[in-house]
Amino acid sequence: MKLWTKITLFLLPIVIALVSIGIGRFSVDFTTTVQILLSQVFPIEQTWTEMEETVVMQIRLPRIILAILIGAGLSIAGASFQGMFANPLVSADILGVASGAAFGASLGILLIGNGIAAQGLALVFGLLAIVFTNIIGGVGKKMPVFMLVLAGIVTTALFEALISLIKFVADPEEKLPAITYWLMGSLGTASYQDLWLAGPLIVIGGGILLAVRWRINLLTLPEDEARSLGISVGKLKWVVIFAATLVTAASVAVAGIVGWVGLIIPHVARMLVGNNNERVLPVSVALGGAYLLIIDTVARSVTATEIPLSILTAIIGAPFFAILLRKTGGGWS
Amino acid sequence: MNKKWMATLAFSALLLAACGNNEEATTANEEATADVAQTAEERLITDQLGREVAVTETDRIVTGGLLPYPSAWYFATGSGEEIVGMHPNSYSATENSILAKLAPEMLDASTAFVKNGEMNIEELMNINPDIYFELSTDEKTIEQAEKAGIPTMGVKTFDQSDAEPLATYTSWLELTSEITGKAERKDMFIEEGDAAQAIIDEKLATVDAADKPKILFLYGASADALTVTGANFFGEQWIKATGGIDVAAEAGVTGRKDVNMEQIYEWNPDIIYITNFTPAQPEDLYTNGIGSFDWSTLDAVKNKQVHKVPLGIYRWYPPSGDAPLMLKWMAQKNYPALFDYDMNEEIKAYYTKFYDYNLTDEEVDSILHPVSEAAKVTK
Repeated sequence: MKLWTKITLFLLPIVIALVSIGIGRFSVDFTTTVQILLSQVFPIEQTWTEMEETVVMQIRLPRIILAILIGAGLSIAGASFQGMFANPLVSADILGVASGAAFGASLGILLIGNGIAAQGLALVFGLLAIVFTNIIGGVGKKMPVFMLVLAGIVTTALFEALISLIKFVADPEEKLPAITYWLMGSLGTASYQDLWLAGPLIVIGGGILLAVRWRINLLTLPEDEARSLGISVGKLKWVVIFAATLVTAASVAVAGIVGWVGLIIPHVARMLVGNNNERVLPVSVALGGAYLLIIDTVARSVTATEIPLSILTAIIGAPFFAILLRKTGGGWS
Repeated sequence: MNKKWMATLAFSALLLAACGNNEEATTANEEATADVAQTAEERLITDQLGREVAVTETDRIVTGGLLPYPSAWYFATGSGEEIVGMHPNSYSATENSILAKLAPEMLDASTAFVKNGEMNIEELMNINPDIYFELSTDEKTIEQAEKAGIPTMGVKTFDQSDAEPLATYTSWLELTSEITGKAERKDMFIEEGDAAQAIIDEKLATVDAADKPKILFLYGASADALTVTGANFFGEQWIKATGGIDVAAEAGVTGRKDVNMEQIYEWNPDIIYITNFTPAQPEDLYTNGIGSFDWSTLDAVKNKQVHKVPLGIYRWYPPSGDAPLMLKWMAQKNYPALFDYDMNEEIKAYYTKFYDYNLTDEEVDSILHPVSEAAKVTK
């Protein structure tokens, strides 16, 4: 990849963010938006209303940052899982992490109400789910990859049944709509509180994955070969799994289940830069952040009512992905 | 080996079934059969689905998903004795409303036949209803009850062809009076509603379209979601009838939908009404007490124009026997200068007239300022 392509790619989320902050149901002039943003750093005389400032600083900004973080996080987690298992089918949703986290959050909404409890439980159950999948699938042992995918399907089925159980007992007026809506994914109530909760975890998990991205390539080698290169395969696998799960569960905790991103973005990245995870992971971060940001901007601004994210990620993502697949043959060799 | 297992399984299943089948159910079954036998006084009544329902007795009434109906029965007949079973959500509304004082006998009604929003047909048969009332849209439950030999009335909650907020309730009262043969209170209700609407229409005739307040009905407000109601829902009917502009309906929102805060800023309503289906109170908006939402820049909040919808004989947002009062109350909130009647006196007079009950000042206050607990719909 040429240098300028690289620069364009990594500037993409930032450029889209700048455009996105000027878009929304509440109309704020673009110049006003820029002034409001600049006024946070430089002393600029206030010519705008309180409301405009709240919209830009308290509603749009945290939401945009979260959308980029979550899009990037889900994509890098998906890319890591795919790279690690050398399997284009796996993603955090398929390994059961997303449904585990979703179960945790539904449980939180049902028992405690909402907020921190739901998000904390999402994390706990997301991690539990991946441990469960690994026990069934036998990670670290000489097990074929399809075992792991099957294990993930089993785990997902189990947690989805538990989610249905929760929906069944939930109060149909107040809690059920909250749970259902949330299961379709939304950043509709994103705030700095959510950002502080999920942001650090996504950054830490993503940072770990980026740091070991070169070694993820080695995980696909036969174990003794990797060992001869001085890499402890077992330990590395767990580091990758833990980091990717941390990222996914943190995302689910604040935005609910956002499907498709973790599956398709890594594919797109591979179509652009090939199979080397050293390149696939950073490119996934840039593309994923940009993609979810675009989706979320559409979700919040096209109609008066919020559109659930998963609907859009699938409706926009699936045909786009289909075309790419036909054109490139998947980029997986 | 396999056969042995099968036999054991079959036997356990039988045993379980036998344990679950309690005696009352059997008795109810027998009684139901007996009822069918004596068809002497059977009458055919057309329900709101256009079905002809054979009715003999009207002494044991059970109501399902049609939540405000127990209060409508009481309103139409002046008696709550007949209500022997109701949906748990109706029960919590009854318990937390003035209806508990007007018709305490209704609190003896059973709620056991609905668990987690699903009707259990055997539990319903235990109560042995003469008539069961259910939402016209819940065809599955209606069919189930009919199959069990229970005369079942399908009743509509919302008729989109009716722009007039009292129409739905009037239709319920008409059905009820046909069943019971008591029409007096129904006629009084129609008269009272027409009178209230006439006064409002007369005063509003002088109001310029540009001066109409922008109104938002907040159906739910929590850290997870902000839900508003728009077109084809009761909120729009109330707003139209009392001379406001439904900002959500104008923006294309239909039914109840989740929106984001930015959209509410864009609407910037002059008045916000909070329904009884959420524990949220006006104070929660004034103090930014919900999630991390900042309400303070909204005009309605700045001018302290956030109102909790009252809860009288039932929640005032959906159809209720207090509907003429809801018209008067909302008209006054929308146009305080035009409608100078004393709402407390209006409520007292209405309750004396319709329910033969003299409200104390505290009781009036509890109607106008319902507690958050009344939103709880499950027990």
